[in-house]
Formats: sequence, C-alpha cells, structure tokens
Amino acid sequence: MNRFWRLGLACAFGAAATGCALVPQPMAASAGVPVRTIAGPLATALVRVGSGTQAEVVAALGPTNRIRFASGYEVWVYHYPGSGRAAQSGELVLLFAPSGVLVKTRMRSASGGSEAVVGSAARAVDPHGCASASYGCSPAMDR
Amino acid sequence: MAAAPRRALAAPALALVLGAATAAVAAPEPVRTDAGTELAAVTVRGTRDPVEKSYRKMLRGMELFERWHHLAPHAALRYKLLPRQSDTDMDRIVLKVIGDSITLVVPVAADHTFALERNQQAIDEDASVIPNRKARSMTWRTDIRTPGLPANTRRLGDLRLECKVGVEAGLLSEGMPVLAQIGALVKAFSDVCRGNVDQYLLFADRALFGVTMVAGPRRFVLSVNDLYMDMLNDPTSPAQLAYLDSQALLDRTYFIALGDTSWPDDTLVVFDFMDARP
Repeated sequence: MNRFWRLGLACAFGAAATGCALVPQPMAASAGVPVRTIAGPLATALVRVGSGTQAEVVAALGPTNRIRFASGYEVWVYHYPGSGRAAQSGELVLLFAPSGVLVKTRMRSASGGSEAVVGSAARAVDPHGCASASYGCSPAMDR
Repeated sequence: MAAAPRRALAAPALALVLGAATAAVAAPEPVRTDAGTELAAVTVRGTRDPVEKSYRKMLRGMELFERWHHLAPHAALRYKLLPRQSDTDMDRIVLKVIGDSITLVVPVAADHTFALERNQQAIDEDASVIPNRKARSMTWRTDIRTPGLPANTRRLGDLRLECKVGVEAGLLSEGMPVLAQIGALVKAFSDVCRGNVDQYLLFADRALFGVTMVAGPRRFVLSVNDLYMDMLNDPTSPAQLAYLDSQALLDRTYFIALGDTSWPDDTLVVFDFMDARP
C-alpha cells in the first residue's frame, strides 16, 4: 500500500458524484526506468557542470531515472556502490536547467554524508570539495 | 533517513466535494414556475465549492502552538495559503471567517500568510475560514519561523511545531466529511509528526536541489528520495498527482526526520535551491 491508498478511498467515495475526474499535470517521472548504478565517484569526471548536455551525460553514464518539473528543470539520479562495508548505494544527483545544460551536481554517501564531486569541470565549480555547488563548504560528517 | 517509499499525509486531495457551496446564503424569496409550482430562490454569495477550514480547529491549532511554544520560542504562528494548481491566482485573496450570522474579514499578507483572532461568536456558530478560491485550488499549512535565520535555512524546532499545529488545526485533509473522519481514524494510529507511519510533507520557499541538516559539526544530507514526494523512487502518474495538494509545488517538497530526537530543535535545515547561484 503506497501513499496513494487514500486516493483510492477518495475515488471510491467520489466516483458516483464526480467520476473521479483527473487533471493532467505538466510533470513527468521516468516511471519504469531504473536508477543506473555507475562505477563510482570517478565517473562524475565525465560530466561537465555548466556546459554538459543531457545527451553527453547519457553517453558518458547511460540513461537513468529522472524527474522533469513543470518549470523545465530536470533531476537525474545515479547510484554508485557504497565504500567499505556500506551495503547501500551512494547517490549522484544531477540538475539540468530548462535549457538542457547541466547546472549542478551533488553526491551523497549511503550514510547521508556529502562527498566531493570528482572531475576537473566539477572541481572548477566546487573548488572546496563541497558536495553541492551552492553551499555547505565545511567538511562533511556522516549522520 | 529511510529510502523506502513513504506515505505523505499531505491531503491527497480528498477534494471530491459534492459542490457543497458553503458561502453565505441570502434569505429565500419564492419563485413561481410555468407549472405554477412555488420554489424557494436561493442566492449564493461568494465562491462556489470553496477551499475552507474549520475556525474552531484552527483556533485549537493556535492553542496547541502556545502549549508547545518551547519548540520555537522566538517564533510567531501564521497560517499560510499555498497554490495547489499551477494557474491558481494567489493575488488579492479575500479570506473570511463566516458563521451563521457573523462574517469577519481576515487580512492576508503579501506572502499569503494570515493570523486568526479569537471571536466567541464565530466559535459558537462553528464558523468556517473561507478564501474566495475554489476547492482544490489552494492548500493550507502553518508558517512558524524563528526570525533572523539565513534565507536558505529553516529551524527544525519550527518545522516540528508547524507539523503539530497543522495536524491539530485540521489542515491536512479536506473534502467530504466522511473522508475527513477516515483521515482522523488514520491519524489516531499514526503520528505524522513522529513519522512512524505517515510523514508530514513540508514545502520549501523555492524549488529544491538538496537539503542538509546541520547541528554543530553533525551534518546529514537528505536522500533524493526525501525530496519531490519520493517520486523518483515511487513514480506517480500525472493523474494521481492531481489528487495531491503538492501538485503545483512538487519541486519544493521534502520529508525530514521531525521525530528523530537525536536532532535538537536548533538544528538548521539548509536548502540548496535549484536557482541558487553556485
């Protein structure tokens, strides 16, 4: 039972009166497309913040799960294997502007710590080794 | 922070309201039809099928705020209106408390927040709080902010209190009374502010790219599964989305561990907004 179980209830009670009319929204998630697991943080060296395009990222890392918002921004997520004894995957999250250009990246370890994005282009945006290009430039600590 | 799909007690639009306009009704005057039958003419003022909340419940939320004010000792309580549709007009909202014989106009600030005053007559008449917008066009939240924080941060204690007041004030469900009762039944088995079954859905002020909890040297980055209604992990069809009160603000939504007491109330929740410059 997922978060929409109440939706079912709503439709059940409301169908007689309203037919459960639905309103499509200009937003889409890539349902059915699994999150791709990449080799590791070094793979991020293949993406270029500020100029990389979606096609280039697909060529470098492969297709993956994504969500496109009504604003035109898209968020893509890749997994990478946890380090050491960590069984869970880390996350590489990419943000594409409505223009299709990669504008931000961030990495998160399986335990919730931020990790430095590897790669010359990424370092150019993130010279202090921050997980994100926007804030939080102090050393990361796991939860 | 769990990565599994979660349920959001975020008013999956129980907004299948049966057109029950609750605006003030004028005194009926008889009208004769061609067949000679005399009918009562009813004039409805205001918005048909409006977004509305219980004045009594919202006052109960205010009372709870006072009892739990220690979570956010320097903050004031405001209620907030948020757009639920991308085309909802959030300007010039007229908000009223309407009872059987009393109508109070409630000023709405430019940030769409408002405060209620206690009025015994409105309580006695079980008044409703009604904006001039149709059902499913807006949603409601509380807005409790400790002053002086950086613009890209919130304080965890403020968010905890927002949740408690929001639940008490009945902001999380709307629509048919029977569904509200079902929602209340669910809530009896679930404390959304502890997140043990459902979680309270929060909205940032702008579209989010990342969220980090910071308490002294301790930091925790939220998983992408804690953002965007967990849509990447648990895709939702556009049709389903229409029933969520987050549909127009999906890119601002996040879940956070409100019930994790290992994080103090002074924990800062730091936002990396999509449109923030590096």
